[in-house]
Amino acid sequence: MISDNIDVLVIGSGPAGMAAAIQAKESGSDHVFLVERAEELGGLLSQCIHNGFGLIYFNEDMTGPEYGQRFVEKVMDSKIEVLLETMVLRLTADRKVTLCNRNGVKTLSPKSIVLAMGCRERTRESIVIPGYRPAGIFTAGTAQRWVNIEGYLPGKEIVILGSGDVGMIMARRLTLEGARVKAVVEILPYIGGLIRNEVQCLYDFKIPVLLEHTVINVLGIQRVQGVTVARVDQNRNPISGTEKSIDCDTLLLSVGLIPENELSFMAGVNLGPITGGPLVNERMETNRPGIFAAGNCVHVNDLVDNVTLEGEKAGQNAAEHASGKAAPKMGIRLEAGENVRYVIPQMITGEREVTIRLRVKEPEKGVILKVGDIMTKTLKVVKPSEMLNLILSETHLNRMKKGTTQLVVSCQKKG
Amino acid sequence: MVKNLNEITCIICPLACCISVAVDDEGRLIEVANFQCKEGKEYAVAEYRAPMRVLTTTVIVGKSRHALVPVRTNRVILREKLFDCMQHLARIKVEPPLMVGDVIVRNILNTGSDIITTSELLD
Amino acid sequence: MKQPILEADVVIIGGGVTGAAIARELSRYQLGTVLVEKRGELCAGQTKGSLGNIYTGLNLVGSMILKSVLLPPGTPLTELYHPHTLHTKWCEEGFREWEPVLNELDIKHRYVPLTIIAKDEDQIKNLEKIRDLGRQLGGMYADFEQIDREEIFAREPNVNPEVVTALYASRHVIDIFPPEVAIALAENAVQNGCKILLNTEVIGILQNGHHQIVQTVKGPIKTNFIVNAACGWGDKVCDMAGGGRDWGLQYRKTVMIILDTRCKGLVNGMVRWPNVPGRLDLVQRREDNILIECGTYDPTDRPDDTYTIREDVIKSMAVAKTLIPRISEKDIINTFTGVRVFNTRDVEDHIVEFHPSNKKFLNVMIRLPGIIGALPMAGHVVGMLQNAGCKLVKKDDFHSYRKTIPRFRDLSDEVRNRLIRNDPRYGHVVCRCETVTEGQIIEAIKRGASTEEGVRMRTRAGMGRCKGGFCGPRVVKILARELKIPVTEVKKRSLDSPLLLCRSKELLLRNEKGIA
Repeated sequence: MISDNIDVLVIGSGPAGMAAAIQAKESGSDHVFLVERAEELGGLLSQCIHNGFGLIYFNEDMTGPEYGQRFVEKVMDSKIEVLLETMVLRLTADRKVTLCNRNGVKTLSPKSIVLAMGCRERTRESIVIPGYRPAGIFTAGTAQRWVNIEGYLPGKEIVILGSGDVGMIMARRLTLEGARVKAVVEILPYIGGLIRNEVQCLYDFKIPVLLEHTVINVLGIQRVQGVTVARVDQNRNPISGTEKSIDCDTLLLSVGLIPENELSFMAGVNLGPITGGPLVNERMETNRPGIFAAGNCVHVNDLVDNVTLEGEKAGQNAAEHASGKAAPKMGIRLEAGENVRYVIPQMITGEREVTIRLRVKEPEKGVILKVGDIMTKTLKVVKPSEMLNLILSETHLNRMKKGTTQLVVSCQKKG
Repeated sequence: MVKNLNEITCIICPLACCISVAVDDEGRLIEVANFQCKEGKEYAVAEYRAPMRVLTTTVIVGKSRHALVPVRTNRVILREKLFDCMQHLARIKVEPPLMVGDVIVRNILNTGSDIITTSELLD
Repeated sequence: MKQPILEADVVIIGGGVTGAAIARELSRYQLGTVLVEKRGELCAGQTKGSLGNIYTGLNLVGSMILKSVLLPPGTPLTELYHPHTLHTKWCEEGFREWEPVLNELDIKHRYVPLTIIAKDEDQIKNLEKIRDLGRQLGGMYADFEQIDREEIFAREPNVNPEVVTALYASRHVIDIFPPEVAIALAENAVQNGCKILLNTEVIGILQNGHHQIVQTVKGPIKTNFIVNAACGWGDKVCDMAGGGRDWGLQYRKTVMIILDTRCKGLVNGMVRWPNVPGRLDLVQRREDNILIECGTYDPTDRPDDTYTIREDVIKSMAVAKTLIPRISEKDIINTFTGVRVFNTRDVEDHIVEFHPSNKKFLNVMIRLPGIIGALPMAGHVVGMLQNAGCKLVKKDDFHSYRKTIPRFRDLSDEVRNRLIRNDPRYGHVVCRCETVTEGQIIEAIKRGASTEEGVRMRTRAGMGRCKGGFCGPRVVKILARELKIPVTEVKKRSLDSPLLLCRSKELLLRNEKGIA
């Protein structure tokens, strides 16, 4: 039953979306809609059958489906209007949402929107791996759906390009299912994901890891028959003479996640060039009033627990916006400085305590994180794959000189 | 006395210390070196002695619009037993309705761990 | 000899745009027409990798001017115009014939302006040659203007800021999607009684008294006439009917790049540097994407050498940026390589002639461009068949109209709702990037798509930026369900391109039994 008196409409029912919808309800919104394009709630959680979720939020070591189930239950108990297999076709700057499902196409005007579309995977085509276009090239996440939800293996002899967590998780998964993972190929000199996965996914199964290598060719015309790998130099260019072929029938790609922001783009939401996602303030609000965003569509997160927290923030503020509560002014812009790839949020009030999150560009040992000259924190080690949280308390913020409009967040090597 | 050195990568925190565990020929612990915290030391010894893991996988579902149900061990089991468990579970089929936490196999292969579902499957 | 699986009056070998156009033309007549295609899908060869615009006028003048380097000094430019060649005749007639037929066949198309720009002395010289030839030829070849910087930036604001002058023509380039054209022609042919057999490779040609036998992997087909429209493989097919061929076929490959629809504002039509021999340098709107073909035509020895070379992509992007500086690698969503077939015998022209030792075996070897002239070509082919004794009696009930699979993405919400009320599966959007619904995919399968690529060419599902990341599993499952085959039997395109190699647990069960 679609009503036209919607307080908050959430697009995407992964961990960010579910958290936003639940929190919006708990913050007092009467009518909350949760729109999902797939056949069930949970987003990618249903296919992430491995554990490691919920360590922070629930203090338990849960699998993706278990983590998701907690929120699905809350959604079902909260009288949130759930629309499955429903695609959002259009979004306008003034919050008109056009939905499409088997019941038809309809345009709604909710008071607030939370964008929680997640991200998509970088493809073979966009990184221009030479070769023909054989069957057997999959992104790791799509392969994960095939193996864990649909019940099919992409192949029997696999090479994985990219050592991010998704790639390593799939290396283990496919090995356990009886396939042979012949190599994980990584262009950088270090593994892209968590150490825990390096040990429990690659080392445990003696899967060969080729660091500072990349795939320079796919063999096979109609179906993958193999790949050619080569060592790369400091500029990540293949070194002639180091080429070697690996026979395989499948190439899995774990070469990056891209926040999915077609709707944000349509609505004229400002997107950050580094994150690829909406620029947000500490309320998780974008430049369009009443349009909030959370989760992987804002920036590619590391832990689902943090995605949930972001979603809750967005949901709460979306509810407040829907109820007409005035929004505080955002006076301070946060900029990424030395060795910081990006900071979330990009705008804060500067007047109340706020948690900021950041990702470094390069791994480093013995560092000082600095926020302007109002706060420092020393850390033994930082890695791009693990996001860092900094709490700016009111005490910190009070140190700002009058007239400050910008704080630079940097990560410097200690003395 | 012969010292057999074994390197264990610690996964407790991002420092990822490479902790060395030295044992004699009878397997008695001689020395643990290169750790930065108590938890790391304990992890390295336990990991050397008997690496334990959580197994997460799927089981085929019949009479359902779903093909699979995700499952896990509810305790850590010996790493050595992972493949045997996978073989065992490959031969099992379950049917809906299933709730989160339903026991599919009790004490699988005498590991002390059950295999439980991690997802609800009503149809 | 085995019993023929089919009997026909004409067998067309090759399911690209050439074969499809001939099939449609033949289907006007009371004839049994069969088209056989080696691969599992239509347009599997050159058509799929072609640039594919339907054009005439200024763009044609550009390609005429290429031979000017061979002209002795003092020769008038008009010597470059060869109206007697099939190539030129069919381009001129073809453009005119296409205009109403594109609508009849419900093929999506858009007139796009052509801007040939020049910034340095050499380019300006080439540009002026094109201009002069066009004006001398007159008619539609003169239907363009020379414009200055202000006008250039008013029409194409994102071109190279150093551009000095340009030629601008607005009415003679039609942007189309080549597979759609071939498929539309083929569907209309089938509507009118033509039979199309896929996965039906021809392995031999036999003459048998008054008839011929086309031997295929599915069995022999008895026929009166044979039309060889196998383009890249045309020489091999022709040789099956006996030797004596002197075409000297050459294959040249070129890379094309597609940019995300987010970039569509960068270019309004087609923007190019003036033509230079051996290469093409253009950036154009292709539907809602940007299509880049900026590179050389590199010789290869295989007609199916669609291997994409990374360096070619890098070089191509570098040239594309000279045309439109704001183009960026990060917007690449697809690269592919097309092979163009040329003959060295009549270098300027197509070869359409009967086999020297078989007067009912017609070779139709089309060089580029193949789509523009497809309709007059088909008419010509049918005329030749008639002269060779093929009886042509027109059908009273030939339907020249063909309806496309609804393009949900392009429809208004009201029309969408009507579609959905009629069939709710049109409300289930499966491909997010291109807004393709389950209803469309099922219709594509009804019309003959049996592979992932077949669905993609007919509906665009999987052509967007995520390249099937979301819709891929769903499309495969719909194919399996509608075709009633196991998921492991669904192919990407040909029979040897399976997508999923085995079911869950299968390898574990096999290992225990000791089977590798």
